[in-house]
Amino acid sequence: MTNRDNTLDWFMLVLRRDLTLSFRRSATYITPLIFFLIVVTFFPLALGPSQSLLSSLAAGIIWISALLSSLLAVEGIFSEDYRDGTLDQYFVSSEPVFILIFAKVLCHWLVCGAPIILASILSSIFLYLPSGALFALIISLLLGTLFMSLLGALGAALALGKSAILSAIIVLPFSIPTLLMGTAIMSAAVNQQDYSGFLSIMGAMLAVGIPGLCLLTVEAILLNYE
Amino acid sequence: MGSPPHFYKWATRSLPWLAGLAVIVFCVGLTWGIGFSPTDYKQGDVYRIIYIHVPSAILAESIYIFMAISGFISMVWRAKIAGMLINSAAPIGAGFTLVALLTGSIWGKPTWGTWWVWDARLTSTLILFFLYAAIIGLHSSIENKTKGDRAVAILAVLGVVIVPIIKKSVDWWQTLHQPSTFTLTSSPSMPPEMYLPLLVCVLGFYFLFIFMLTNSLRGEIISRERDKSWVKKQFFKY
Amino acid sequence: MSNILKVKNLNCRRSGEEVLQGVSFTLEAGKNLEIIGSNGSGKTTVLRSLLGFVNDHDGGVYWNDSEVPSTFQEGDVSCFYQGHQIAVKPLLTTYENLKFSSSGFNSSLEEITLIAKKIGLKHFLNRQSSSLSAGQKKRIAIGRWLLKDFNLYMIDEPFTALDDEGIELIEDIVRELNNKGASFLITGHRPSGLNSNKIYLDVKNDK
Repeated sequence: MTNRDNTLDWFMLVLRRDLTLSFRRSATYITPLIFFLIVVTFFPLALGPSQSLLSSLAAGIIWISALLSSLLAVEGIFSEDYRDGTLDQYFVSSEPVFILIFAKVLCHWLVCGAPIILASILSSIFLYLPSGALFALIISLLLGTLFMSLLGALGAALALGKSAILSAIIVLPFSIPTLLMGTAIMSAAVNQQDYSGFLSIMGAMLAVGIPGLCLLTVEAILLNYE
Repeated sequence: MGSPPHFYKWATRSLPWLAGLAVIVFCVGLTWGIGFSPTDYKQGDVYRIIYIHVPSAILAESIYIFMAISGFISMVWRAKIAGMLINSAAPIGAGFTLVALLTGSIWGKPTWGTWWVWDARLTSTLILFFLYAAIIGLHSSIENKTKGDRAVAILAVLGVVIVPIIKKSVDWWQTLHQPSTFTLTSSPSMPPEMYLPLLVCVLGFYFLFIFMLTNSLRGEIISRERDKSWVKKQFFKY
Repeated sequence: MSNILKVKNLNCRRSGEEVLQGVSFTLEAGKNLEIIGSNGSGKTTVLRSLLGFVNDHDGGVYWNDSEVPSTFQEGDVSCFYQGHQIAVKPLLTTYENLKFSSSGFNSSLEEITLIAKKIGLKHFLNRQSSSLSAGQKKRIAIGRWLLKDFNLYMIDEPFTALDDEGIELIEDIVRELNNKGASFLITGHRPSGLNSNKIYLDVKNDK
């Protein structure tokens, strides 16, 4: 068996394992979803039901809620495997750690980002988001939640064994460019302007962020093994 | 970068000189700026707060860059001192950032008529403060200090990539939302009688930072190496 | 006979405290070594510093008859490590716990079934491990030793939570793997019935 096949097998193994574990414990994908919907609901309750006001704030509300709820589950991405010795065994086997981290991030994005995107479609009705902006919302959240999963993994690795709120504090300031870019896409879409420029900036951020953040996460997680 | 005992000796020897230099330049700058520079024809004497505000804001950013460089060094070469430097610099940087925010706000009250404006500069300084807070919070939560240094180094390195992006995107966000803003500090018409003392002040703040950093690094070295023989020899004479 | 591992004068500190002082031993390929000591004597620390998980140590660790100290990866030794926490997920079935382990991802269903039979869990292959007893979970962990051939197995306290049958199972498997040329480095509170060299660690009291 060639080395490349082996790496792919290793990647699929971690991904399948984490997906299996997530689906057996339904809280992993339901909690962020419900949290998202609750946060979104709080805005009309606090700001009043005025349709025009909510409509103008909708994109921002949905984006902030999505950022917060995708951070919610990220703390557990490594902590359980760290506690029960799985990471010990994985690190001793000379399989690449980078692949392990990437598979875990991807799993988090799938089980956490995807339900949030579905819920955001529902929220866009709750908050009277102009229907023309729906596609922009989905595509921007698709990229944005992936970025949050990457950042969140770094935060979780740095604050391994510490409180979840610490990893949130670490990560949130770094998520500001994503938030600004995402809301820029939304306001362009609402005003029926071209937003492909912003979208490609976000794509570029991801292209650098995926390898860069995964490498930093590798560094951060190996700190616990020295 | 030298070993901790070597660094400690160097720091102890240079500390009084640094203190003297910092006090002199700092006092000269401030007295010149606040006492003797001309009154601004538009803002009156309020503008004199820039002699504290601008140097603090410059320091707030420089210290972050300094931390990122130390972080990079500690990540690549595993230099112990570089790791300690981040840890010693972070609270100082956070302090300067806070001073910059407070003075900015005090300055804003008479000029903008409100304590806070979501101006690009203020906003990115506020975010910088959060970044400092994240670093301090992370470091204080990790019991093993060497491990904490390395963890913080990762964060500082990530920060130096992200801070320019944050600044750029906040600038751009600001123009998107508030097209008409006047920035005070970048007015090119500042006469030399005003900006020369400002330069001295900036220099004085830098010296102040170096002094504070050296001082807190000394304490850091001692507390980390308290079980080593050279520390025992120095302090307990055995 | 070649030495797979030679440790000379290993010292280790944890947050400034000396945990290990002057530990030395050699381990030949195909032989076993037991590190025996009470709680807090630093047994786990020996294993973890050999793996590079604890960095604050000095002394020489030589792999595969090498003249220079190195890590096990540099010494080209394939290691398997099982700590106190045995990494058996309650939500996964026996099959998945074996398959999704660091050693099992290339194993086929037949191989895994064969191993499950050997460790006495054939009928539990598709049952989630949350319903298994502590001893049965430990057996899953033991099954992972067989999924792939390693040069050196480092097992932290393998005999806890096992009945007589389980202990016999370990002894059988160790013998079988020894015959293939693999070595075992095992920790424990008291000497086991394994054919092995034994070293004793003392708890460091306040001097």
